[in-house]
Parts: sequence; C-alpha cells; structure tokens
Amino acid sequence: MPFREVEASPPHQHPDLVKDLAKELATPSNVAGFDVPAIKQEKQRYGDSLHVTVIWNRWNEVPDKAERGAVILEAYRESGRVNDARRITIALGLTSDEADRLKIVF
Amino acid sequence: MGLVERISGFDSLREMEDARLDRYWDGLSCAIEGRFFGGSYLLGYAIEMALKVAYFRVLDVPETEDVRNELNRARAMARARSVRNLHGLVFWAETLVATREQRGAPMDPALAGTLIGYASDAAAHWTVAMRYRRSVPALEECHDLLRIADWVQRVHHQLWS
Repeated sequence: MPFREVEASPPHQHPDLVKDLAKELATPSNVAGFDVPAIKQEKQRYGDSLHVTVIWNRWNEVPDKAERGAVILEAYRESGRVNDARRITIALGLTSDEADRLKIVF
Repeated sequence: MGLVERISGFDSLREMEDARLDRYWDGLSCAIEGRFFGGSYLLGYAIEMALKVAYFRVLDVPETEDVRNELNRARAMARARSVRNLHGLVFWAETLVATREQRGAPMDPALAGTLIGYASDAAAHWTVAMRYRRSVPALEECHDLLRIADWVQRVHHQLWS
C-alpha cells in the first residue's frame, strides 16, 4: 500500500489576524473601542477550562465564523500562551454588533 | 384517517431527527420557489431541531422514547436563565456546549464558538412567533438561514460526538 504524507488544509486564511491578535495577547494595548481586539478570558468556576470571547470589528473580514475560532486558538499559541490554548473550550469571535446582540458585556 | 392520527403521538429522538431533515427540505423548497418568509420559518425550525437532537444525543436519550421529561428539565434550565420559551436558538446552542463540557466531552473550542455565533445570527432572523405574522420580504435573511442550516447539517455529528 503506498504511503503518502500530505499537509492538512489550514483551518483559516487569515494569518494577518493571527499576528495582530497574538500581539494584543502578548502586549495588551488598552485602547478603547473594538478596532483593536478586546479579549475576554473567562475562567470557569468548575474545572479548569477557559471561555474566550474576542470582540473585534476586524471579524467583519471573516464572515465564515468557523474560521474565527481557529484564528483565536492559533493566536494564543503564537503569543506563547500554549497552556491557556489547551484549556479553552469556547473560542468565540464577534464583532461589536454581534456581541451586542448576544448581550456580551466586556 | 386524519393526518394528526397518522403522525406520532409524542416527540422522540427518532421523530425529531427525521423531522429536522424534513423541515430542512421543506424550507429549501420554499426558498427555491421564492417563498422566503415561509422558507425562513421552516429553516429556523430545522436549525432549532438540529440543536435539540444533538442535545438529546449527548444525554443518551433512547431513540424511540418520549423526550418530554428531558424537555421539562430543559424548560427548568431555561427559566433559571430567564429564557421565556424552549425555542431559543442561542439557549440551545449554549446549553449543548455547556452540557458537553459538564459531561467531560467538550466540543472542539472553535466549533463551540462557531455554533454560538451562528445560533445568534439565526436568532436575529427567526422566532417561533413568526407563524402569527404576515410575510415580509426576506430574501437575504432566508439566504442567511439557509447558509446556517447547511452548516448545521454538515457538522451535525460533531455537535454531539
């Protein structure tokens, strides 16, 4: 049987967003508004998991929501927060309008 | 014999699994024929039922058993969160994600986020109360719901396994 090793297709097409989000994770800018990512990392009361919500208007560039979570997880790893990345059980990327609709307060 | 007599007298997982697919195809047919409001209504139901089915599967509810008890439990959870009825798409998405996590089998984190995001998008276009409202133009909304219903179809197994 032939053996063929191939690389899986990437889960998103937005390395620029990964870079910017990783930068913000490494050095939070504390700028108001959602033109920069607002990162809410919620430690769950039971267990050790994290729910991460990133409110960022650049998600408008990513209408396929399936890609947003992948961007968040990769940014965590890229910023050196590998252990945190392993604990994340929800990676939710929302624009400010979408966050309003879900009544998510930052 | 009337249609009501010919359909099942109670809601079971198997009935709902078939019904979600039926409502999806009904909704798609409406959308293709330009009945966008009706299509939206049916597609919203297809999404809602897909979430409920996944939730019942996570709970290991037997295929042919009446799901009333599980629905009553969900109703109590909904009340505790001030959710008024059991047709809330975001409620079901969040409950499904939380139940899997509580049971030690969390969803892929990106999938969980996607599900909650899409449930919220769908909830902006669908409510069970629509059935009492006259139709309004809904081309874009129907397309949005169709896209989300398609996504739910595609990943449905991953929502519960």
